[in-house]
Amino acid sequence: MQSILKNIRYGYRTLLRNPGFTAVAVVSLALGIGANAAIFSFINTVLLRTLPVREPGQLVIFGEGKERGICGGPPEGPMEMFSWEQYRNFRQQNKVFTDVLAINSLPARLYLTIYGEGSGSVPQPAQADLVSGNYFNVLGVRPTAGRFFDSTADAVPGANPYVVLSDGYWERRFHRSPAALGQAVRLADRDWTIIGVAPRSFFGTRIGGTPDIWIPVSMQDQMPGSPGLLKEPLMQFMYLIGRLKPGVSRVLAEANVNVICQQMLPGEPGEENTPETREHIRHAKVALTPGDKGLSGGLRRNYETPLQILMVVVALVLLIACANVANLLLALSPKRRKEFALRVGLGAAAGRLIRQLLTESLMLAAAGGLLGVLFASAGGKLLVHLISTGPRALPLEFSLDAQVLAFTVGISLATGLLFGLVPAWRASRVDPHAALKEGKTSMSSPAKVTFGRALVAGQVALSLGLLVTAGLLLHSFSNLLSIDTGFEREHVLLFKLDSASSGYKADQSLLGIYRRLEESVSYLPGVNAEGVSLFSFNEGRRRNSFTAPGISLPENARLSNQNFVSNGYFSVLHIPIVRGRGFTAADTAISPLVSVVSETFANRIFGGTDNALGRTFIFDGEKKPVQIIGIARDVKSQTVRDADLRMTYRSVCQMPDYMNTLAVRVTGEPVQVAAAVRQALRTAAPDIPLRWTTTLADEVSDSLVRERAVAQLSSFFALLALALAAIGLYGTISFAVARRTSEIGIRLALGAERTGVVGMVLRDALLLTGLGMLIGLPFTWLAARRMESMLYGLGSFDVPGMLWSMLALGLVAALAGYLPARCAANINPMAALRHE
Amino acid sequence: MDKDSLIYLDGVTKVFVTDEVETHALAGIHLDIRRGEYVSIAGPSGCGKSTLLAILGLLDTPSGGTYTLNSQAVANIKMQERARIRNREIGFIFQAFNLIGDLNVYENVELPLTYRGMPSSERKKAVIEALEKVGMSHRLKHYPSQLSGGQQQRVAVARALAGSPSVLLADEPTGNLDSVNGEAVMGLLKELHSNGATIVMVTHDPRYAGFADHTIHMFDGRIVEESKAEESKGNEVTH
Repeated sequence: MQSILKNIRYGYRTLLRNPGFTAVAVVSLALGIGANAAIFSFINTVLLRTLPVREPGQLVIFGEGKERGICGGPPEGPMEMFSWEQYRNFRQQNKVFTDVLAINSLPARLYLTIYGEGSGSVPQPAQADLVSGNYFNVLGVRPTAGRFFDSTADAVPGANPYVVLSDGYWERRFHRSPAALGQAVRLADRDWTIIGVAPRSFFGTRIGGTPDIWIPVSMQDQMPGSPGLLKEPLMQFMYLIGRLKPGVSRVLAEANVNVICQQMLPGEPGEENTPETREHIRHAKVALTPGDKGLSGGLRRNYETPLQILMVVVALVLLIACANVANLLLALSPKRRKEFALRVGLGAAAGRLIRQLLTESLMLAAAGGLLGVLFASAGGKLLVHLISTGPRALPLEFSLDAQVLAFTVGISLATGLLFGLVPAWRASRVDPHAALKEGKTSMSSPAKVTFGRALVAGQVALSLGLLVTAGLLLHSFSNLLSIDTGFEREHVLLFKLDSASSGYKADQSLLGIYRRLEESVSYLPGVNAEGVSLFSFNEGRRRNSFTAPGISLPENARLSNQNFVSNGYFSVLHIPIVRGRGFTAADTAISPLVSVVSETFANRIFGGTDNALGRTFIFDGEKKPVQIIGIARDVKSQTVRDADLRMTYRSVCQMPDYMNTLAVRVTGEPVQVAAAVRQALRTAAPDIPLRWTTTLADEVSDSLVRERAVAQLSSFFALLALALAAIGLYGTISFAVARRTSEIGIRLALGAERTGVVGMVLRDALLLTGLGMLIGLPFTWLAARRMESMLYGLGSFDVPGMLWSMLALGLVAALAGYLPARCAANINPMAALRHE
Repeated sequence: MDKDSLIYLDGVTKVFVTDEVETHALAGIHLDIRRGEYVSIAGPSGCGKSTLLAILGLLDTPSGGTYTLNSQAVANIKMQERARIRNREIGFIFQAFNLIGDLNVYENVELPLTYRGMPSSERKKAVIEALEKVGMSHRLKHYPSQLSGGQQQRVAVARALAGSPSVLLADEPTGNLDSVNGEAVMGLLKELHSNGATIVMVTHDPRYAGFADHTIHMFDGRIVEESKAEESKGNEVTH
């Protein structure tokens, strides 16, 4: 112990004696460790973190929680969502769970008003999870304050207006006041009572989205715009999570659940007994998946690969940082060679020297780790902020929990050993006789220089890999951004309406509101066209099945995306009507039902756009046929990669519904008109909440949040790697120049010109860089091939990208080499010869 | 200045300024060295003899006075021209040999010729000739670390000779050698001199100073005595 303390004390003094070295080493390590801690934190959030509940290992999800929304009838594949009736059946009939909870697959966006004075009386948005009464009980979570609702809340639908607050929402809106408990609030056009507060650590069961409040799902039908889901036994909209009884395996539970499923589905009222339905029921299956990490939706699926790639990227950055520090230690070792020789001469064993030097390395790593946590904390939040523009923020967050801390400590230790071991081992092999004698005529030692140079070549190779892959991702992202979506995205403002929360019924009165909204903005200067729609780009989809008289279609061809739009919609988005006409004032609630369909829909169903015009089809659940009056150009509605281009547009005038978006085409910069339009909308319909304003171009860009995040983060880390490699190269070349001071002096004395010396040192730097690139090329190509599935519009062998990366690396290397080269050229030969 | 003068110094001074302290390393040196002469500079440590040699070798510039080498005033010429003159007119022999460890014997000797832009075939000839003169042509591929001190110094002499410079400047060439090797190197220099080479050698060893035709003694940056080889005692001179 005493010897360890002595080593630490001595190490501390040594590091202080070399402040430049210590600072560069600690900052290099901090950048590497910080980057790893930040990305690991994201991975922890999305992939690793278990729910903060009692015995999370006992939880199983019915399905994988992949789908969300509403599904009518048994799906073609495995069941992912369940109806209220199905939930009750599973809960009552199973023999394998202590209990089963339910949660609406879609969180609800509500407006909560606190009764009383002050800012609380203004309705503020609140994200709500609608959950079964037994939700908290099944999870084993205890309230921080008040109480939770229980399974009695499920007994009578619509009679349990209770709210549980999240700790964060309690703090934000109620300033942690105990008086909040029992307080009445206004929500979804009725009064509710706050009964409790969830603990701070509890973020719900959905990864990447902590709700503000929890309310009983038995109040589902009281939600704005709800189509009465609880009463519909076929409307599957909830995820189910069961807690296994002790000793029951997932396999056994799955068997039990599927037995219940097969008994339950055929008898469900309202299901048409068609051969297709019977086939679906026969194949209906519920797969139980581990629920310890909660429901991820698409989050885990979408971010698993990108986060894994980023983890590899930052691991490489850390490796580069380690190589830097190892190089710096090697550069320092000649200065300490005599010290080591003296220690050996005085009887120190090699092990003791190694321990001493490893202590110093671990101290550096610890300092780097500490600073790295600070970098990760500040940088992680900054990175997420930078790449999470727009309303659809990246669902990643940096949180420094025990796992992240343990990871950081672990990599700091590993890092210390990694970069410290070789220099320590080399130092322990010092020949005391030679070292104490040397100084008169020092010859360069090729071995030491070679190891340092190999490290730099490795750094260059890794940097090339990172630069090229980042370039590929950026190029791919750029390709995605420039995909033709079928509409003109520029100069279009989107105002997100919350018409369902307005209290209006979905009838002609709502249509009057839409007309008022459209008219109010149409007179504004700079506004060219305006129109409302149920969905805008990347906002979700409604898929309905239909039949076309006289046409036999397979099951999967009878599905189409559906959007409800006002008459001006096509003009606003500049979607050309290629045949027939768009909607007009003549299309009303009392006129025959009409539809505009996409080219793909017309081609697939009717064999061509000319054939489709004037034909009719009937949506399932509707009685009247819909006539096709126009064919619109295909547009991407969900993502820029959308392959399903079947679309049917319905006139909102014929089918009043809660519209989500008012799109406005403007002249010039949308931002200059936005404020005036917002003001006009508030004046025209003050009771329709305006959720947010964006532009169509931003929506398209935001739909690529994952691709953008990966491209930007990998570029950021590639630049970081480049900077570290440049420091490494600079250090190595400076070290080489310092070692060669006498040699350069001799050369100058023998008549070498200074430009020649600059050239000689620069050539050395560039040769080293070239060697690194040569080593890196095959690995870079392999890495790029592994990423091929993530690329769009380009292959893994992107020659221009590779050349640009090599050029960038060469320029940085030239710069990193030029500074020591200039120093070399300014060496005073007299001083250099005395240096001997 | 005589027309036969190769090196002519007139009132050369060198002042080093460190931390506002002026050190007069050379204080008004007058020196005239003719072609073919063998001059040794002797004196105690710190007397300025190495500084004088550095100025003679254009490795340093004087603070005052004039320096004429081969009838060309060189005190204020540009760096590039100084490098050219060092390369063509001057051959250096150092106490620490100053061979480059990563280059073999052949490459070390070839180095100044490379800077001169001499074609490869000519370089080869000159290198072999120089190494033959010092008896090291059998060690072409050896690295300095594989040679004894005496052999290294012979290679250093070959390097200095290879470019046929006007003058050889030797700074304590025997300082790192034992007496046998020291004698051998001195014998080599004597032989070169007898073949017409001009040599200026710094030494503090009176035994080796005696090898020169002419010895100047320095003290505190001044030449305090000059002696010729045939004179048993030097005559004190005032400069």
